[in-house]
Amino acid sequence: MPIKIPLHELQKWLPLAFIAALLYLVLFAQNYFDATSQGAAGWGCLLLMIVLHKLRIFQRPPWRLVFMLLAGYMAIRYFSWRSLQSLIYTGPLDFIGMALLYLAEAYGLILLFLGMFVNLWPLTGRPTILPKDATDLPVVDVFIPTYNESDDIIRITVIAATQMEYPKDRLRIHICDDGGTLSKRAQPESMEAAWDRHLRLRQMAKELGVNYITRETNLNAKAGNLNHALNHTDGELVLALDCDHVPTTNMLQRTVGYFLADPKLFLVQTPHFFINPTPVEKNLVGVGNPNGENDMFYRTIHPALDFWNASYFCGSAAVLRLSHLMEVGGICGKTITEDAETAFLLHSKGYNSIYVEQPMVCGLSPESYDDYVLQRTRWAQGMLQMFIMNNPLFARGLSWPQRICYFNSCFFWFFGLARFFYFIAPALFLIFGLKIYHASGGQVVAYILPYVLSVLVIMDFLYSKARQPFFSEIYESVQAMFLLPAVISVCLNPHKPTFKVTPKGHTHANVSLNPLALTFLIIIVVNVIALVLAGIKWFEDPLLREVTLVTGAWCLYNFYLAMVTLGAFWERKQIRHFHRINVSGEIDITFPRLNYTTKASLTDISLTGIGFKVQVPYPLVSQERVFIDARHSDAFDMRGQDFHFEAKIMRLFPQGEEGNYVCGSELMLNREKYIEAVNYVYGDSERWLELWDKKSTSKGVPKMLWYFFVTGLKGTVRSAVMLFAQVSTPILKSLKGINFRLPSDLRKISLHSLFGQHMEELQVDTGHGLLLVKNTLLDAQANRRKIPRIGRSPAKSPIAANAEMDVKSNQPSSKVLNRRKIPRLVPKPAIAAGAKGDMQPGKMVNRRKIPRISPRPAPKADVVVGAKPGKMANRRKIPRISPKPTVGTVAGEGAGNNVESDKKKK
Amino acid sequence: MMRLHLDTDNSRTATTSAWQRQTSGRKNRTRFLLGCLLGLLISLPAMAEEILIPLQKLTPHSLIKLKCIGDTASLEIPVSDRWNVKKVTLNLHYISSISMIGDLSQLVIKINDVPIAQVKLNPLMPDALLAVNIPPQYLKPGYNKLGFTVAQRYSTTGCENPCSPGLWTDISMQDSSLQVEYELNPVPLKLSSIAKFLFDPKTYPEAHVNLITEDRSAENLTLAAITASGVARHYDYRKVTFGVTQQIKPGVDNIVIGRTAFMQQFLGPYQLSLGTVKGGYLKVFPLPDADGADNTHALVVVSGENFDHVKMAALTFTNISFAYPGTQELNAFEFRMPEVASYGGRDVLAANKVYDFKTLNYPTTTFQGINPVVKDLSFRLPADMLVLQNRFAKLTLNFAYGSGMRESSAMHVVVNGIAARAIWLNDKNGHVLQNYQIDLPTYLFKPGSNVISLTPELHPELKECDFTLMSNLFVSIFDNSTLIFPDMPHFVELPKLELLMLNGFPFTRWPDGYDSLIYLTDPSSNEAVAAALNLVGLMTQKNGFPLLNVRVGLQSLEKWKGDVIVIGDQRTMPDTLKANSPLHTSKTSLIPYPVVRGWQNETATLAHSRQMSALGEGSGLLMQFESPYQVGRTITTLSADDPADLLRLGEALLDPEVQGQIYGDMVLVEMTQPKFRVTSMLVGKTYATGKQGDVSWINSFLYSYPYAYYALLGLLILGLAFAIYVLLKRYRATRKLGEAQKKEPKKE
Repeated sequence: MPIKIPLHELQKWLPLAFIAALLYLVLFAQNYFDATSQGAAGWGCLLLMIVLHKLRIFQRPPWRLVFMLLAGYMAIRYFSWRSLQSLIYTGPLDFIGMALLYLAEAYGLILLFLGMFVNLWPLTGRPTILPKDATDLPVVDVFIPTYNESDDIIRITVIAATQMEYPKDRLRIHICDDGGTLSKRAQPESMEAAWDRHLRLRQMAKELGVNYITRETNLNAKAGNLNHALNHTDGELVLALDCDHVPTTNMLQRTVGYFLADPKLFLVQTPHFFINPTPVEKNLVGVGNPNGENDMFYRTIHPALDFWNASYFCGSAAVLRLSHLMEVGGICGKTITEDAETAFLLHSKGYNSIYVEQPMVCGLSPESYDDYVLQRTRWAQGMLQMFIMNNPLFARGLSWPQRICYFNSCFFWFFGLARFFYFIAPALFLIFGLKIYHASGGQVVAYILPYVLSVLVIMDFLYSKARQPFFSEIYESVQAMFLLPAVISVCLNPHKPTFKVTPKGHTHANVSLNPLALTFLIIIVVNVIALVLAGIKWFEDPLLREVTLVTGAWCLYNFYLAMVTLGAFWERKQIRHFHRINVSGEIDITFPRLNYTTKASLTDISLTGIGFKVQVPYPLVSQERVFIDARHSDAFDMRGQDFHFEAKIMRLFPQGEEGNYVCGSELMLNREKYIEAVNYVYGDSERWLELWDKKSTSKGVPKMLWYFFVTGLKGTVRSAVMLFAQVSTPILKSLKGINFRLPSDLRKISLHSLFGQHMEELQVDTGHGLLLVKNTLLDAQANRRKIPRIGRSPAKSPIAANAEMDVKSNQPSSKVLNRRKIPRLVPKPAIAAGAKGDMQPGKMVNRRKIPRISPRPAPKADVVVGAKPGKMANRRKIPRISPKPTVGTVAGEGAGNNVESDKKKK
Repeated sequence: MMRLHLDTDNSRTATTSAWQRQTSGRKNRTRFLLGCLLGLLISLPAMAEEILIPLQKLTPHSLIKLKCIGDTASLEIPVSDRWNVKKVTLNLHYISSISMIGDLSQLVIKINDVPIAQVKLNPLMPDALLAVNIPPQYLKPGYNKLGFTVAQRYSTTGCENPCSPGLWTDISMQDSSLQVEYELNPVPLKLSSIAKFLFDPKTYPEAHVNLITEDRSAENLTLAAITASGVARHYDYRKVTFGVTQQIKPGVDNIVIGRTAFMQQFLGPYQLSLGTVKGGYLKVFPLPDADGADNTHALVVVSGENFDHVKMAALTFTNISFAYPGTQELNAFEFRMPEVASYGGRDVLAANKVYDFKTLNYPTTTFQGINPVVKDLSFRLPADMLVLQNRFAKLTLNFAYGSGMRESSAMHVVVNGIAARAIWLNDKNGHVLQNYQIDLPTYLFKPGSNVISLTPELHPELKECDFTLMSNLFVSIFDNSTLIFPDMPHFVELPKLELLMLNGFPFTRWPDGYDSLIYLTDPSSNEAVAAALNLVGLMTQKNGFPLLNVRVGLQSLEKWKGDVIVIGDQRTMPDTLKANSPLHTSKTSLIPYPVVRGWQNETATLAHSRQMSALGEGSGLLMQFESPYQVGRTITTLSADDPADLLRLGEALLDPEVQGQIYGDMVLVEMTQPKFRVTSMLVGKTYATGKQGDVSWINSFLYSYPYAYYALLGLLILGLAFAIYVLLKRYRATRKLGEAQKKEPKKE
């Protein structure tokens, strides 16, 4: 009797049959085809991939799948050869090296296949679901957790949250402050700052009409903070925002509707969009207009995860359903990546997630390498904790694609180990003579080269939308060495890592080499030695020339990569608190002096000012007052809201034809206008989308390689010079007993002598400035910053921020100049100022330098009725006067409530 | 050129040749002539025969190069037991360097390591012909080593470079020869003489054996083929031709095969009688001739009461290999062959089996000095072995080397002339190494004969006069070193007549010829039968295993499942085979003419001419093609226009020069003198064959048609892509709209 197989069963098993047949063919060729045929197959397939890569039709399924399968064939082909024919035992040490390298390669291959699986068909173009009736809209609690961020950052975020288009009666905004918890305010070492912060933020909440929530302790860090807030709110949905993540006005409009459509939906995640570059991006900016480092994750990987219903919570810019969240006890705190872990548990319970590929928050990346490494270490450790403790591949409740997606997300963080082996592998042979890779010249041509190139092609195919060629290599290299100990530490003790907050909004006054660069200097030196030895081996050991050639080329690549990576270790100046954003669009400009109104093209905007190009038939003058009429609609927003600002032109650059100017203006903002400015600058999600797209153009592989090379060489030389200077300065000082100072133009001279005109080409703005700044100007300003200054607050008030100007301007405002003069007049800043009683009310530095007279025990109460914003001296008196043993809840002024830890409430 | 004559009896050099004898004086001429006539008459039955053996026939090299300050080379002179050597003269042509000092440089000629002549290498007479009388008593039956040793010097002061480029002597093998006068010894009437006397590989230059069969039935012809195979096996590599007659052929050894009744009838006229015949029966007689008996040749009787007994006798005959039995006759009652494995044969390595060097005829060997003689490790791989890429044969060496050598000393491992690995002999204190493992890539090997050479490169210290102290320069390779060859599939693309010449493939797939049939289109033709037996002998010698299970068939081939050799003239060749042969000869012939000749083993660009024509006199055709009756099986045809040409073709195939030129699927041999002319081509369709089970038909197909492989690969990728696409598309729709929306319609 014939067996009937249902069609859907057949469809399910058919791919497996195809895969089995393909594997059979690969192994067949391995056994039966000689190196020539193999080479022809490899290079033919590679050529086909390169050609197909250029065809648009291959970007979309089903042809996209064909392309990916070609890449898969190349990888399997290589790895079957590598596994079956290149592993030769030649000795115990050789074996260890060979095995480690093989494992590193296996890791890469697994990751390649996981990446291809995840990216089979990224889910884009999901229709937006809007509520049928506004009365259906659920109550949304917006949580803005803070810890030690500046007031300015929090203020902007809160203001933007209040500007979101959503019925006000269904929108509750909460500042969840972990920097002013009871325990912090009780501990002597943090008491003063915690009280200070607590009062400031409470005041800010009251002022902006939002709630302030804090708790007793800092248990479980951010997760604990959010859970505490969850226990004190009862909205149906929760919008989680990092305090530096400024939401656009349409954030809830775009996300809430999905919850109405799908009762099992627990998460709508949106991209994190950063206006400032990470340190790596910042230092590699000479390469062109690179995509943000996280663009790859949010523009390609997350839509791909979304396809498999595996888009997970990224800690911010996400809306969650409270009821589902509480089923797993709120935000999980077992790992230090509480967000992903929470999503993992909810997915395991069968709930769904959605990713909306439109940036609707604008945030800040870490500004320094230390912060950057800190953040990545946390991510790596957290995801590996999840990998070890939750074992995604065999977790119950998840579908197989979800398991693979989570496994991929966690497994990725082992890249530090793999990258480390790639760095040292060729040197092991060239320096120590370990035979860890066995391949003849023919096999290199037949297997290795086609595979390596095909990986480049497939990576470009998958991620070119969000990442330019070779950037992944650099990003991974930069992190690898520093993640290595963290990864090993987690593997040894998964429960050890603790949550560390990533500092945001830091500034750097000087260009400096981060000490972390030393690792890469060592790698460069090792590779140079290995290359020299490769040259010697070439002549001395002709029988090993093929291996020498392969390892030498590999070493050269490592050297190149380390060099480029080193170039990324320069901490560039970052003195701006409000990053300029390069935008396009039109505005109306009115010149009251000339009684002339015209249209101008936007070049950049920030909270402090607007840059534009304008044609005026009259001569313009500096400090000229103007009125600016702007609209979101000019910047691709459909709402068409009008904004009117008064500004002063601070910089003026005549351009080309007569009457053309590039202007930098400073906005004159009062409180209302400040809110309006926040709305104008941060409220338009289309603007972020536009910026995303602007960065997605590749410069082409050869040009990128050259730029990387120059950048790397520059970085290496600079690093060497700086290192020499840093080492030699104390020696010279001790020898001569004189106050040695590194010549200010040392760096400039050495670089100019080395690169000549390339310096000019490479020196571009930090991505947000108005103009290209010449090297000399940078140097001059950098030198100015070298003089130690005091009196600068890490966070400035909006008014102070208004007064800030672009330091790259060659016509600084008088305010800036005056402020800068202060530190120069004070040779010994801190104590001297305090001792002389040179207190300047309102200046943080002076406040900090006031010696504490009498440390007091921690106050038991932290809320006072009628607290008013005022001078610090007054505020400090409050807790001393009226300590309260228990925590109470007191209504503040206006619409906002100040809520503190009160378990009884729930 | 100068001609030298060395009389070793008195160590005298003469300027006249030895073979030009002069008589005494005129006075004694008449007496001398009469004496000669009388002597001739007396010694007629035992008159000496004379043979000239070019040295090139004894060695594969056309030139022996002797280099450096001291060097040796040797070759082996076969002396058959049948020969009673009377006189041997070595004619040697050599050229030596003019850089050498004549007084100090010399060439020594040795027989079995005994110097028999010395000559100075005179730089003023670099090109010399040397005639050396070799005392016959120095030559024993068997293989005698003829050695050449040189001492070559270019300086008398200071230290010499021991391998100065100016130190060389070349001995031409082409122009040098041995002149041997011998008489034939009488045949011992012992059956053991079959192996050691009658069919002796030391017979020179070639042998001829005549076979007589009871009739031309398939059974008797099969017995003749087995017997011929046995003879060829006894002769080992020595060329042997077979003749077939109904009567005894004088002057050669004869073998008569048949049942007892026939045998008695056949021997009766010669007054020869059989003993008691039980089971198989073997007996050796002096060859009867018209004058009585030729005791220098033999008549061997292979008989029995029935065909099975005769076959038992033939098998016994085939396998007698040492001096037993010492009787003139024997009765054979049982014959058991060892288990025969497929792909066995002479020097063939089995896969995954550990062979020590001793087994591979490589005893513990020491290479010494600056210019040691290279020794090869020779073996064979099955002719149809498919050499897989990137596998490795494992060579495990146990060796020792001397101390005080320069660190640049090394030992090269060369596979078929390609340097595969080098072992660095860098320990100045010397070393003994055991289990030094070397992986040799299999792509360096080839089906058939392979050679692994171990070539030491031993360097003394570069101090003054170190070159004179070279005893410490040595490497000893122990015979417990091993070689393992990995398993490989048996899969080959045919037709390849070169494989037939290599080891008789595919008819020796089973080394005893099982699965192979010899089909005679006209069994009555003595020439056709002789040609068949010659081919059997050829295959036996190539594979080194007697074809004990080969069959001769006369019936239709359609039911035969194995491989077939078809022998007959063009007129009697079956039409089906003609139509399938590369020539497509049926009523008319479709003759392929190469327009552009391709590379060897590559199909030439062909034009085809349909014509009614014939091969013509003096030519023969050897063709190979796939059997029209069995897929993957081979038919090889041997044909000519007339039987005489067919016989000559069969004999021509025994010529090593002809064998070396055979490849492809169609070989035309023109039997011209002094050399045969051979035209080989690949013009027909190819097909694959192999050992069943080792290579699946899919692999076979994909290997044969690589474009099909790539096409299949592409199709599978496309198929997989679309299969995944279908699955994903459905899933994607649900994800895009949301889970809730997907389920809502169902609820309704």
